[in-house]
Amino acid sequence: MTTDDNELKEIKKRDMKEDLTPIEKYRSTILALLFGVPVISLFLYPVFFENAGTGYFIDTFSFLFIYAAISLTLNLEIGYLGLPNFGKVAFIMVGAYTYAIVENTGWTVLGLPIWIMGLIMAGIMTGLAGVVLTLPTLRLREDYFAIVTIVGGEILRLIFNNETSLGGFSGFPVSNVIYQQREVGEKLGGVNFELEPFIFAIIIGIVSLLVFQYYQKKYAEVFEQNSTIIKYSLQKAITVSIILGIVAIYMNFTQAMFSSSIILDIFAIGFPLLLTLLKSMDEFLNGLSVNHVWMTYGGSYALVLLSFIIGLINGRGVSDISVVSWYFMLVTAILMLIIYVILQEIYYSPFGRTMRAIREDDTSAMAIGKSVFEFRLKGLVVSNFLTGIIGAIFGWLLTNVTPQTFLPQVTFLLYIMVIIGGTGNNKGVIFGAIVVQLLIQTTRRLTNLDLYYPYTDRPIHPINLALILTGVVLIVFLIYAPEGIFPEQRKHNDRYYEMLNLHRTDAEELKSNPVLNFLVKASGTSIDELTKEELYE
Amino acid sequence: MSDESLELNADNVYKYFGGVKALQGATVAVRKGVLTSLIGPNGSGKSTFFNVITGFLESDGDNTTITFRDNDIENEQPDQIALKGMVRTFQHTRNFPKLTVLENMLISPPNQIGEKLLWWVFGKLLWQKQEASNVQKAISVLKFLEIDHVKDHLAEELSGGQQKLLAIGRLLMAQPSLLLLDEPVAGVNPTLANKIFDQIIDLKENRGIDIFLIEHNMDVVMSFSEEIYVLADGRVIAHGSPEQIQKNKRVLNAYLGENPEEA
Repeated sequence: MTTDDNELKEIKKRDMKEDLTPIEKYRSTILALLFGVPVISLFLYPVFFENAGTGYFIDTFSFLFIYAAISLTLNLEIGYLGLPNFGKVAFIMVGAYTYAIVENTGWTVLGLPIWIMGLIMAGIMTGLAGVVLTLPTLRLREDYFAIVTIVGGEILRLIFNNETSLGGFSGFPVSNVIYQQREVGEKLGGVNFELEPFIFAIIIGIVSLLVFQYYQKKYAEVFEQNSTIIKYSLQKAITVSIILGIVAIYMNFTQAMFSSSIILDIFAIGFPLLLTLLKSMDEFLNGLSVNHVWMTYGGSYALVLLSFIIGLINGRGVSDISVVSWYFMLVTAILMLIIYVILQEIYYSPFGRTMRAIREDDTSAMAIGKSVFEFRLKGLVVSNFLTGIIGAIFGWLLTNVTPQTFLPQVTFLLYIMVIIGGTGNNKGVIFGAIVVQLLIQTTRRLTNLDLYYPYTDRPIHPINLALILTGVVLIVFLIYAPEGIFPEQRKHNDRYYEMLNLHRTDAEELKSNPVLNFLVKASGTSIDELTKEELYE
Repeated sequence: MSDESLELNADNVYKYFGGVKALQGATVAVRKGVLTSLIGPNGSGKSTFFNVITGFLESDGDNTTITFRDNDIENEQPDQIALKGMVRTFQHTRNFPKLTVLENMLISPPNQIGEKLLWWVFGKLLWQKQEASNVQKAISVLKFLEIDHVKDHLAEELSGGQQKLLAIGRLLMAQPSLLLLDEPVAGVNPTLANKIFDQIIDLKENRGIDIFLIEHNMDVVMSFSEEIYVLADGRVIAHGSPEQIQKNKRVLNAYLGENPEEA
């Protein structure tokens, strides 16, 4: 056993980063600076020194956030599940086309606005497409799965290209809901969405957080709680503030767009209330008293709610089209954030954990009773549902959905983003998307660059240069840093210990809670099963 | 063949790999509360037998019956068989290398609410409680196996012996009634091997979990097993108590080759 202990000491040293050289210690930072700074400065150069229009700035970022969101969903497939889906672009295409078809036929149910119907249908159809494409292929080995998906995606693109009833070569026109919104807003006489309520909500959120941090500490002393409670509550409060900030924008949307629709307004108000309720219930179940919860969060909610009601009253008309573009950029950014939050939740949930186990060793997962097929299918459906919605919003940006947009190289670009950023690490993937997208967008603008192919007098086209550079970066990464700029953080047991600390409530207390009882019954289990503790001591 | 005392019953198991006849009608029955071992020379089909009964390979025989606690499991998928309570380890330890030891343990529990597709939408609200009790259980199993001090490390960072213990720990988390252990102490030093076996015996005695194991280490097999099956060329050539097996001529022949003077 002494050898084991020695080994352990070695491992501990490595973990404590005692023996690491500065390069190893700050690996991620160095890599991020090495690739991030040149690319971002290249991007900012025309903005500051060549007076490039704001359109350049805004559109680049809108594309960037959409690519980042899609590469996040790709990360679920390749990073969590280990499934090399090389037909990713086909799923984006299905989403964009479904939205375009819904919009052009004007088909809707329950009086939903067409764009909401389009988004829902895009998600559902793409999820289904994932099932159809993967059901026969999911039992294949990973390399064959890659071949089938790349071929399947390309076949689908060619069908869209040649079938005139599906738009054919010229595709479908799509109207940008946000641009549309500008006209609607003008008609309604100036009620429109505003950036200000969002910023206001965030600022008030942050200020109130600082106040509550103070109160949290005070309460922690009173209840002699440890620091985990404070940290946990803080996380919750930040989440709620951001969600309410988003809702602030959403409410302005609905105000402007459906000023007559009471149902949507109710939804807009009901949604944050429901979230508040769920979150406080969460706290309550974790063994904190209701008073404590409302003392600490109630104020926060009230302030943030107040802030966006003020923003709402304050709403003014927007006439400049570039301002509307800003809103679109904001929408894509929020979309990316939502996808990020969802994927992080999945990563740390038992669902995500089992997916990661299947990635590591599917035979072993099967031997312990996990249906590998089922988990792969579920993972792909979730990933493709999200991809479909992003694809539909991508359609807004494109204004015309054509098959030529969805070439296989889009998939490869997405893979480069995931690999450079760090497979399995969502933060890294977003960073990878920023680096690659800015690299491409800036390089292709360098039209007055005097570069020639070696040994010839033929000039290199900037678009080709962009692709060459991306390829070089990918190769460099695969050789020297195959785990990417931000490698997957695999050691996060602290989460489990925190969970253990927060769950010291006894079973009787849980049983007396009717709301939880209902939810637990709805999920198909019983309280006894939830609370039973089998100990091996 | 409905016998109350039978845990696992495998009749006439056949498996052919092209022209190679790996199993030719092997018949094994594991009784409740009896530590049963499967031994045999290299290439006699022991691991293939495990693979067939746990559903990883299909049996090629016509009149094969494999029952586990009177459930027919012949045509079931490995994961369904595992959920019924019969779980196995592999000859080469197969943990999830890039997951922490604690997460390795948390994969195993069956019927996790958080694994269902839609329930993570509610955040941790519904599954957190179950998860917390699983974490508690995992830590106590790791303590029982005396590897709880490494629970924050990745599985690939452990030593060989600790990996073997972790593999057993993962099985225990799956609430098994029968453990199939494929060479649990191969490549482990004798001290640790004895420790692992002490824990296996403890599982059988105190937790009522039945054990069926493949092992090459004869000292260990003869001292711990209560019933031994000997497999050679895909057939069971002998079975009985360790004493009977040690005296059996056919077993000696299978291991050492036929004695030309006797023949």
